[in-house]
This record gives sequence, C-alpha cells and structure tokens, in this order.
Amino acid sequence: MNCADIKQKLQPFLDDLLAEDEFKAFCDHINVCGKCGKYVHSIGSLSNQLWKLGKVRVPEDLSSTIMYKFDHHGQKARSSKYILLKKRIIAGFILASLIIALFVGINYLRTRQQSRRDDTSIVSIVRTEVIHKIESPTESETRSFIKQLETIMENKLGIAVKDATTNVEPEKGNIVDEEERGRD
Amino acid sequence: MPERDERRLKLLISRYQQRVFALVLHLIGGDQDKTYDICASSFAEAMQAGSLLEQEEVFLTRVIRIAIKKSRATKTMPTSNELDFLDLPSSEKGPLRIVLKGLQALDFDAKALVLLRGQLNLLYRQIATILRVSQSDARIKTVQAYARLRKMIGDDLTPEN
Repeated sequence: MNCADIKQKLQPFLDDLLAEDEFKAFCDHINVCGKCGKYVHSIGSLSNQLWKLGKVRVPEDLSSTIMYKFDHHGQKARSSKYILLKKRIIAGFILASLIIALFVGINYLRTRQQSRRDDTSIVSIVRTEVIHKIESPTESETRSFIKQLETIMENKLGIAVKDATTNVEPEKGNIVDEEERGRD
Repeated sequence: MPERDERRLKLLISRYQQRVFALVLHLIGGDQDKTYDICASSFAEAMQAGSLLEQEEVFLTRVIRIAIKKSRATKTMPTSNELDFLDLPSSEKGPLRIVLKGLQALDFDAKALVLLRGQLNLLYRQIATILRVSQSDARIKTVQAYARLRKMIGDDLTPEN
C-alpha cells in the first residue's frame, strides 16, 4: 500500500470496513510513513481517539521490573514444581496406606464372618440331631443324648468331654421314670 | 539466560510495553499502580511460557491474553486521576476525555473489544485468538461494542473535535 492508497482507503478504514489484509497493510503503512500517520490521526474520528488513548506515558522502570519478575518467576516456578512433586509423593503414600488398611480390614471381616458361620452350623447340627430327641426324655434317652453330644463335641470341636459327662445325673422333674411309664 | 535471548526479550518488551500498558490502564479504569503490576506479571508469565524464538505475533497475543485475564480478575474502579498522555496538545485532550468516559461506561468485554481493535489495531483473527472466540463472533461483537460506544458518546465527539 502506498501514500495514494491511504487517502483512498481512509474512510473505509475509519468506518472499519476494510478487509483484514487491507486493514493490516493500512496500519503497517501509517506506522512506517510519518506523513500518512500524521494525516490519518489528524482526523477526528472515534477510531483515532481510541488510537490516541494508547499514547499514555509508561513508567521508565517497567521493563527492568518485567525482567526482574521474569527471573524471579522462573525460580518460583521451579520451586513450586518441587513442592508439587513432594505433595504428590505424600498423597501417593497416604493413598497406598489407605488401600492396604482397607484390604486388611476387609480380610479381617471376612474371616470373622466365616468363623461365625461355622459356629452357626454346629449349633444347627446340635439342634437338628439332638435337641428334638429330648422333648420327653427317659433316662436311657438322656444318656444317649449325652453320648451323642459328646460325639459331636469330639468330632466337630475336638473337645474330649467324656470324663466330665459320665457322672451326669438326669434331673428327676424332667425325666419320666421307666417304671411309671410301664405302669401307665 | 543466553545474551542473545536477553537482548531479544528486551526488544520485545520495549516494542510492546506501551500498547499493553495502555490497554490494561483503560480496561481497569485508570489505576496506574495496578496497571504496572499487571503488565509486569503478564510479560513475565508470557516470556516464561514459551520459546523466545516464536513469532512476535504469538508473543503479543499471549501477553495480551494474560493481561486481559488479570485485568478481568482485578477489581476495577474508575479513577479521577489525569492521564499522562504523550505529546498531545491540550486541545486534543478534551475529546479524549469524552471517549474515555464513554469507554468506562461499557462492560468489560465490550471495552476489551473496542480497545483491541481501535487502540491496538489488531486483526479480528488476533482478537479471536486472544478472547478465544470465533473470528466472526469477534467481528460482530466488536461492531456492536463500537455502536454502543458511539451511542454513549453521542454528539459530543464531532469530526471537528
């Protein structure tokens, strides 16, 4: 774009009607050509007033502050990277500990539940196999019940209780005497 | 840092610091101290983020994007301080004040669009990259923002001004 083009395209420029490549060429020219720049910016339009708003005085030490911040920012970024890594390691350690604790807890609960289930099965065997036979026990039935109980305890629980139960006497109130039964 | 990179950095700063400073200053309402801080940190972050061998245009859009983001996060309050304009005769400061007043009445996005196009003379492609919108969106919204600004200024800004 040359100086003649600038005069020709001035109004479309001010109205923001130029195509993008024309707009760029126009701006590039008025930034380079002092005469055209002065001419364009002398016209009182909104675009020009906005352009003039950019002509504020910048503090002289801004560039040195930027350079200082740039150097400082680099160190800060490096140290923040190290802190981030440290935090990640700690978080990983805590997470691993939680997972292990959870695993151990679940195993413990499973084992406990299994042993409870075993206990329940023994009790149910005792109920089904033995207890229903003692509704109207005779002396011989009681003795046989005790023997069965001993057998179960020995077989299932591994407890030798034979000596302890040999002297057990059945309670009279609960056991119907065989003689009385014979009389009936 | 290699000396060549440092020289290039200083060149980039000197070339763009005034444009970015003015943009931020008008975006946040004229607070020079906040503008100074925002500009310094925006340049530092942009320089930190990418290679210095990149194109200048990429660098400029990155600085402006960071500066706009920081300005948006800053609590803006228009100040009554007289702006220190370079090489402008006092007769030209009157119309500028009118434009400035109209500009401060716009919302942040509209203000950013008007300044990016009118003050920095950026292409819509660049504005779209900075604001992360489509190019057509950038164009439409800029035209709308200009229309609102013109409406606010009204007849105060005549061509003779």
